[in-house]
Amino acid sequence: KQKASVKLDFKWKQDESMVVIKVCAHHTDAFTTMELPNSASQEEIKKQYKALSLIHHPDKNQDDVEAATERFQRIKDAYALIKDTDGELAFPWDQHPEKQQVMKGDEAVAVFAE
Amino acid sequence: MQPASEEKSYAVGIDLGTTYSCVGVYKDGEVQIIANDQGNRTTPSYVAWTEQERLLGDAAKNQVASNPTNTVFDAKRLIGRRFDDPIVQADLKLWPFKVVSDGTKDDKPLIEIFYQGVAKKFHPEEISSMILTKMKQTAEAYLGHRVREAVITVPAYFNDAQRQATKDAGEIAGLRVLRIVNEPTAAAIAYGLDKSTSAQKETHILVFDMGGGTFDVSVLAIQESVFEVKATAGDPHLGGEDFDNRILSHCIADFRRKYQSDPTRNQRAVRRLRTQCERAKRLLSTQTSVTIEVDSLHEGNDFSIRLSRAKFEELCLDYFKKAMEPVEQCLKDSNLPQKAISDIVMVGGSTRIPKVQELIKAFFHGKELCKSINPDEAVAYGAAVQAAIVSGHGSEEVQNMLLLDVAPLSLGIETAGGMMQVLIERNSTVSTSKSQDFTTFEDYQDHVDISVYEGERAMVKDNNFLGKFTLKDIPKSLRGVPKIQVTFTIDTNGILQVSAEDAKSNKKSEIQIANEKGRLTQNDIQKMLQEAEKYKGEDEISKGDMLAKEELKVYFQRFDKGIQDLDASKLQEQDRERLEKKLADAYHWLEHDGLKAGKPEFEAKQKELQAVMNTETWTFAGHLHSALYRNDWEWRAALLVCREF
Repeated sequence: KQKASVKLDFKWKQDESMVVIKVCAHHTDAFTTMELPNSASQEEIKKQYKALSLIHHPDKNQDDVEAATERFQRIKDAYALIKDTDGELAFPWDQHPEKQQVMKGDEAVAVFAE
Repeated sequence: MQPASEEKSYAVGIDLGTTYSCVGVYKDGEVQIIANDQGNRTTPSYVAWTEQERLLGDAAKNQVASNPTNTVFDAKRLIGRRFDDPIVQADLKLWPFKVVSDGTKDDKPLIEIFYQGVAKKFHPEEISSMILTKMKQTAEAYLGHRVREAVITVPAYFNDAQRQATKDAGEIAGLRVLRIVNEPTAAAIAYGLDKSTSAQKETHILVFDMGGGTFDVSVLAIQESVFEVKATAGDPHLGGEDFDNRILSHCIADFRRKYQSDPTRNQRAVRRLRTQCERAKRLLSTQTSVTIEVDSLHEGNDFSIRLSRAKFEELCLDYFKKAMEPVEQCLKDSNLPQKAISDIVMVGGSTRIPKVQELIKAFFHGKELCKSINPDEAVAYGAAVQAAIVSGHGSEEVQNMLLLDVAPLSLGIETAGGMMQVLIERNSTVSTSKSQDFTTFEDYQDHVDISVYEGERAMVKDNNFLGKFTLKDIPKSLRGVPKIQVTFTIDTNGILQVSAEDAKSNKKSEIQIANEKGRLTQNDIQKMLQEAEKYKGEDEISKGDMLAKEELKVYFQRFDKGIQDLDASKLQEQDRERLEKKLADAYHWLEHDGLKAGKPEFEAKQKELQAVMNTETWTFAGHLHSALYRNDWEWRAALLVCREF
């Protein structure tokens, strides 16, 4: 079951002094799968993907191809989700659970839409 | 010492090319490219049938002018395609051999040749399997071991059917195909090992692979020992042969103008001219002009034409320009700017053409091209490394390597209105799988058809139909109730596999999938494998026949000399006559019956002569000894036979 955290992105436009709130999925699970802190930079994510591939790719697990294929697929899926993030989630959420608000997708829309 | 029962077996890498093939093996910590029996490191992908036997490789190509209709090449341009494919229809007009449809709804092409007075039809897979067999034998001769496993390369832009058919060809050749590897990826391994900087930093390279018949471009990211393909693009029907054809048409037009006669129907003439065109094209890579000359080409007219490099470039310029589109596409797909590419690796014979080099250099704003790897052997080199990786035979350096390749085409299913719903995007890292739920549209419906396509267009009719999968034996219930999860997997070979499962019962066995990918069935493959074994047997027999015949002839000479060398006093006249008559009879037999005799007959004849000689031997044993038998051992053996007799 995919859990999604909500991340708020504040952007100040100086002239209009306006706050833009962006809601985007926080792929907590993907970071967990990749065995990375969610503050990881793009370079670190890429490196970790390759390191994990070397361990879990079916070619490296000839005696247990099926399970390895499944593990490799999970790693690939996780990588696809977070490969474009570059330390954007640098706030140490895991150290400050009290600042992290988890809500359902429809709730998030209800709160943050408009 | 290894126990004898534990036979060592090697996994080889085979570059199965349109015009030439190459085989390599990873042995003693390095890759060896293996030369064939002619001493050539690449072997023409040709198969020919003469009156007596089947020829493979160089032997087949060398006799092509005298036997054009029974010499088959370009099987790679047919493999995995339908007969009504416009590309096949266009190629047909240029081939001297005959291609027909198999007449089924799959409309597979069959190659028809005449062998020993009978028309025989072959699938392109079978022709390819014969070439693979030749490469396998080349490797076996070098290694002195059986070769049972192989990695075979295909153009990166080959589709599902073409990959599957290539894999089948390997099986027909009696090989366990460990992996189907993309050619530019294999070439990248060769490049990576050559550089072996083992840089911590990620570098990006572009592989430009233009061979005899196909063209690929791939962008890879190399970091330490991991080779990750970022994107791939190409044209599965663009290569050196297309350039040959342009020169050929140019020459034929010139011939027509000069002599008002058309040589196109004269297969032998066209073939001789084509060989000279290919030669001219090669020469034009190093010199600026060349003369194409063929004596008595057609109706006794000699043909000669001067071709400059500029003219050649003009003839093929549209092809060369067309080759730049995939380069652009590939860069776009990999999300990289031109300057991120640190090396441009040129692979395949056609990358020797100066104009091709010039165009790609211009595309990258004058960046120097990497030509440090052998363009003809790099693919087989990489395939051999991959064979070592997959089979677990290689050194530590090789064992730490990993290849992450991609699927070249998007895969999807037909939805309402003939739209394509993409399930797996192109350039997804393989192996990859995606699941989709299906349900029924009517009450108590017990089967669902799923049409699978590959390609990038929005409508399925513009894409390539892969096959129809039918889910059968769905538990009967109201419409929309059943939930069947269908999983599409592209395996590490780039080949699609489909499995289904009832999401409610979680039982895989309840749903049956009827696979109609239009490929050879396991039955077909088994039949072809047996056929191939028979052929292999035939080849060996005809080789054995010839050897036995030669041996018999040699024995005749020794026999004859043996009689002549004896002086009259030691051999009685009647014995001499008897022996001479026997020899004359045997000669007569060889001249007449010997034409259709096989190895057993030749050997029997030799035994018969030996026996006659041996009975006589008792009387003049000592004299014939030196003449007939080369050494003491042989002599003693003859005496033994004699006693038994």
